[in-house]
Amino acid sequence: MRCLLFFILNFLVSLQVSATDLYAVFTLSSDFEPLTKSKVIMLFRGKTKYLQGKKIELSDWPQNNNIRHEFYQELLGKDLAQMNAYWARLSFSGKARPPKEIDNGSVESLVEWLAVKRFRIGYAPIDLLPANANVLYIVKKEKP
Amino acid sequence: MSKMLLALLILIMSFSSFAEIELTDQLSISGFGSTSLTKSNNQTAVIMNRVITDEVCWDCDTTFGLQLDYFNDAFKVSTQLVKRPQDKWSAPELEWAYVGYNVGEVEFRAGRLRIPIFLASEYYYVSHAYNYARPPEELYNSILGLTAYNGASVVWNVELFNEYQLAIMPFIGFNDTSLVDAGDKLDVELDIDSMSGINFLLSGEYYRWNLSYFTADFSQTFQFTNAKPDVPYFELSFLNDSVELYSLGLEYEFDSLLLTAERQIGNLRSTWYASAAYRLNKFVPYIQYGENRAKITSVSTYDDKSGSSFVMGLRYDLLYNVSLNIEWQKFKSFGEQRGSFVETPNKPEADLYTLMFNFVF
Repeated sequence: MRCLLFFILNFLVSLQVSATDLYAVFTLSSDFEPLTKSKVIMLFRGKTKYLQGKKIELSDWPQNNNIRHEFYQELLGKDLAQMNAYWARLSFSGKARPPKEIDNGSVESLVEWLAVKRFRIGYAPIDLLPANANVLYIVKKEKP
Repeated sequence: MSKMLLALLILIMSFSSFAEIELTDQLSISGFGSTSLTKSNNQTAVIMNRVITDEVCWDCDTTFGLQLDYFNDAFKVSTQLVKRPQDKWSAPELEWAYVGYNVGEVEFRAGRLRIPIFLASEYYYVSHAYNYARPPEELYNSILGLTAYNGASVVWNVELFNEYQLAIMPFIGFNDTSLVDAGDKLDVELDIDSMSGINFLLSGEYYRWNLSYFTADFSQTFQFTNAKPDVPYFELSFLNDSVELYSLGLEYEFDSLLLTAERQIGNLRSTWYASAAYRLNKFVPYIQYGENRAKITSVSTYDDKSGSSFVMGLRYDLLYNVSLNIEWQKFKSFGEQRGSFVETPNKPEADLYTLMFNFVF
């Protein structure tokens, strides 16, 4: 009975962990090491253009795609209007170029764009990641 | 012409977001704008270059900018053409036009550039990028109304402790002339002989620290038109003046609360402001207080600009890329100086009401 309870408890915990892993920040090159949360926040707020000494390019999902909305809400606690204002600030002061918006809401388009240059970084739901993804950071739901 | 901007606004609202329009992989165009309905209760105009009086004004704040960027690996060319509040639509200002080149984490820029002194100096005309309708008047109009310069800069990006980012930007400028609109009867022509400075911007996850030093040698000519019934025009020139200042700005985010404060100390003025904004879904109520204390200068007994203002407002995000501000601002001038008025007012206080639309694309 104790073994059964232990098994059920473990199963529930594993379910909870998988349910809270939402998105992966990833690249297709092996040039980068895993990132801290702080570094990922700095990247997606446009506060740094460099990663481990290399100038990087970021991608984004289309504006009306729920993936984009949820990613920024979970990683930064910001909505899309706030993110637009941030990137307006950076773009119109010449400090950074906004992330490249992929043509349509598909992982295939994202992977195609990432594959062109080694220092390109994107994000996607974990269950849609390509097999050759180098995962740099996992965005988890903080309040399950 | 405000109608033209409103038409543009409707067009912009049809775009889903701020996302530069990519003409090619390397060439993109983007833009921003603002227009307002504004009125004060004082006959004497407030805020130089915007010149708002007690008559309803549709185009005192009207701003429209277009930016063209070309990227080619380490090489970049960027131009920004802005119809500033004081400009006619037929005579916009080239606010920047520069070439940039990256070597590792160092970027070199040369051409016409934005002066990087305060937190929002480099996006001064992009109202959608900050919560209030206009940047704090006391601080942002304290450097002779200058926003751009001809010269060169270097930006050195340094990563600190794997968590912070420090950008160090020395800059140097050369001869330039600009005209400040100080109302119907007065324009001020500024001739900059030389300028230089250095800016440090430290960024963390949810904060920014901005530290700057700036100095410039300049001459200015006050051009009076119909100031007296029998004198259609006369001018007063003051040669070989200089401005020198230090500034420190802090911006902190605590979840939905944004706190910002900046302080500037210089040989002409001592100014500061503090503001708080709180986000409630699409609404951002905010307050702000700023003060300007003028010093004795060679131009006049006082530089004449001592005053304060208090702002209470509400921003609403209509769309991701369109926002609306409703704002009340109370101006006071100190000791019979002009404060934020364009000339010494008969009544030292003004209430300014503003409804402003902002957009980016």
